[in-house]
Amino acid sequence: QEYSFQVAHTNAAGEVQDMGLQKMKDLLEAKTDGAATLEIFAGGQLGDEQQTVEGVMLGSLDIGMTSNAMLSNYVDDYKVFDLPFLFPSIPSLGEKVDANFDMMEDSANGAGFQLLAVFSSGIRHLMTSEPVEDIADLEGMKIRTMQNPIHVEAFRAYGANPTPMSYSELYGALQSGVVDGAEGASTGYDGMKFYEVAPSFALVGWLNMTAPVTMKKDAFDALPEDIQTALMEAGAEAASWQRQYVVDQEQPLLDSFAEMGVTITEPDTAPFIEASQPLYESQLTTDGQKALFDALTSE
Amino acid sequence: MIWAGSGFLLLLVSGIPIVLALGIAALVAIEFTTTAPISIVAQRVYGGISSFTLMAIPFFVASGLLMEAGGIARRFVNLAGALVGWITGSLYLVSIVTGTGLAAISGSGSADTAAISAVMTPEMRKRGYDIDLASAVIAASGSLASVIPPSIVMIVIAITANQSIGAMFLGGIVPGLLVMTGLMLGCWLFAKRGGEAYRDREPFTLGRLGRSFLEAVPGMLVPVVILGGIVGGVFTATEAACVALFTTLIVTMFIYREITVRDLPRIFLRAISLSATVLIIVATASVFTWIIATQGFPAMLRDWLTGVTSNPVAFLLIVNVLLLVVGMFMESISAVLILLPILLPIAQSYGINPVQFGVITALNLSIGLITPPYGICLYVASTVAGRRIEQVSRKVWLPLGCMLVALMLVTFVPAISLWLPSVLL
Amino acid sequence: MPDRTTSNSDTSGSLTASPLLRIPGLCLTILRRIVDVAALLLLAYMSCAILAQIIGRYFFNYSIAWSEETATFAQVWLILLGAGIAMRFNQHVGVDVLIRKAPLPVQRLCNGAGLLLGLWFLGVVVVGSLSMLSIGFMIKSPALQIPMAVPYMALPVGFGYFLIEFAVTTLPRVIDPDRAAASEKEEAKA
Ligand code: NA
Ligand code: NA
Repeated sequence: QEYSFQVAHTNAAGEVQDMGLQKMKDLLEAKTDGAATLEIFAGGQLGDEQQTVEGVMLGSLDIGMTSNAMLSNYVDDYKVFDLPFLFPSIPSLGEKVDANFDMMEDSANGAGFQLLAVFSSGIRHLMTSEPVEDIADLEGMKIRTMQNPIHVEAFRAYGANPTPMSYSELYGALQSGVVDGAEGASTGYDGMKFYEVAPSFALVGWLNMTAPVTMKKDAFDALPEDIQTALMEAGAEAASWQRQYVVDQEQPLLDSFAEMGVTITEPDTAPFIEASQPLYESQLTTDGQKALFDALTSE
Repeated sequence: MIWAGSGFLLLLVSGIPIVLALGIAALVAIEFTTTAPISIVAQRVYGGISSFTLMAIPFFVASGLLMEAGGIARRFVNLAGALVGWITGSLYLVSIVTGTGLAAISGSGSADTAAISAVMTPEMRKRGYDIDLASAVIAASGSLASVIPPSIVMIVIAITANQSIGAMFLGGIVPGLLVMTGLMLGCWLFAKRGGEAYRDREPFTLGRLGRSFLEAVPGMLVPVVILGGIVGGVFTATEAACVALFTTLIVTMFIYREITVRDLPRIFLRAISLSATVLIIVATASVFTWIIATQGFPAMLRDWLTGVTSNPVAFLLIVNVLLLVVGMFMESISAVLILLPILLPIAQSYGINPVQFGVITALNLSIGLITPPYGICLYVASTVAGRRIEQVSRKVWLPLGCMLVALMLVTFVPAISLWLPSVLL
Repeated sequence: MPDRTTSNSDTSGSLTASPLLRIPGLCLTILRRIVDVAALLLLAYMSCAILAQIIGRYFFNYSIAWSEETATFAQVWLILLGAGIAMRFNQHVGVDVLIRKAPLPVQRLCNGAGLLLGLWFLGVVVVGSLSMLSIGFMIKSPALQIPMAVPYMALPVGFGYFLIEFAVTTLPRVIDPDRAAASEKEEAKA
């Protein structure tokens, strides 16, 4: 193989994001008759999310896939994707992303990245020790969030006490009651066995999270045109496949939770959406962010 | 890779600090086998130490030094003496019990070892005990700090293996007590045949036990606050280290009054440099782990391991030998960072529980703390006792034998490490 | 326990001996004082930030979003400065049993090679960290939104200080291994 690209991410091997990269690898090999391939390093073998993004910037890593919450520290316009309740479903997110891909690509280029694909990290719900039937139940609950200002502000708006802490400590913190709950996708709830210590799962769907796949712009531009095209096509096709895969995985997982005795609730999302509205104003400050927001939310 | 490995060994015996030997070997490997820019070294070093969970290390080291300087350690020795002082060879037993007790409140073996050795050896010398054996046993009980919670090595194992830290901590308790019992039995048998020097001089009295217990009560606040806070959901395991530091500070400054504000800069500066020696190795080892991962080394070792055997028992035996050899030369935390990601997936494919495997790893590596040539606890104990490392090494067979027996039990009886987590979690 | 400040001036004693080297010796003493004070303040900040985080969350049901982040930044600074401090106190773990028994020319050669290789590694890290630093000026930290250059700056500064202390402790061992070993033993006794 002439081109072997090292790809790093922090999700476990076999998780939905990893499956998307494996699909992309197969597609890339097929499109280039084996001239180019991906070498995937799962589970944070080459570093955490921050190191993954900076590895791409510094040239020590060819391709990185991180949560949008991390990438938006580097690509300012992508803060739009950290906003809650932006898309009602994963297919609708896919439609909007595909329709505005050029604009998103420009944003990434401005920060020195080439955007190859936008995978889905699933829709994020609430895992809690006590069932959440209504937004009022969240009042004063300590909810673990990622260290992202928009996520923190969102949960403050929902009446909770947002508590950023490292993911590796979350299990113990849920168990002993340091926090009363956390926000997360069903895949993480399953993979980290959080159902053992937070036996209630509220289907709020507060965040439709993406996992952008990026490369250093200079490195991408230096590639022959046919490899560039193959990478972009493989990325786009893998992304549509992966987003459908996430959708297909969701219901069987929820069924398995119910079988294990997890209390699954479906709180009314209208008050959550209403409480999120002020964030659209306060958190989008630059013209680039506002333009991307308008493009993604226009009918 | 082979170049880097042999270069590293050569550098190691040249007397250069291990952290630099690791760094140089990594840099050689990067320059000659990869196309990565040199900024990868700085990037990995930063990533290696910017972890919040590692913060437990400076906090626990600082509170360990405060316990030693502020009289908590001495009072624990007195209490242990009152408990078991009437038995033949009691001073050995006291050292072991105190060592295990200290292991339960501190996270690093070398600080524990220094504390027990400093307190116990003068009295042992006075009574004509075998000081070399004493040093070896003290080193062994100090090394238990990485098996009995809280443990720095266990924290790193739990993070690397993606396991809950609480489960790892609980898994280490029974194996730690097993080693303690073995050490006590071995030393008691040795003392039985050892002649007059080991006969008891201190009768057991309830009065003395009560007095020393009352003396030690404020010191016991430290483990009580830590455990109570974690179990009660007040703080996380990492935050507990910070609370331990404040509690120790309060007990030593305001209850025992053996520490003044003027002592603090010296103690804390020492804590800073001691924890830096550990964490800077963590940081530099993460450069190595990056090279090993990107160069396909795990696949090679995995292929070799899976090719050599498909029998879980044989695999566990090979892993034990591998870790013991590594532990003879290498620092525990870098060994975990480099080897665990390779060994754990294979172990899991054999159906071995990751918590049990983590405990096996921790026990192996704590044995490494007392095996020459690089056994930090053995080194500390002999230095404090004023003996040469070669002399102490000759008596290391007794604690080593006890620990190896315990290791075999932990390896082949999963319940020893898994029973407690399964009951309490 | 010896007072650390006196043992500091002992280490630089060989430097202050010559009048030509008195000024660098004085600079070193001042540098060490600054590093010590900075390290102590960092540890104090870390412990207070984490304590405040616990108190805020448990007693006031308000979680400070940036305490963990800033404490981690302080930790990075603390470890990188601490590595140099440990070099000064000769606390880094190394295996020198074999080399101490070798004939003098072999010792000198090994120590010299170790010095050069060590300086090479530390120098490369300092230079390599500059490109990270340049990224650090462009991006902000996730929680507090301060430039990442604040923690990244610890890399060149910390490794630079490590380099200085490494050179100061290793150079005497190259020039006269026996005398260096003897004076190190003296220091350990004091
Ligand atoms: Na311990
Ligand atoms: Na060893």
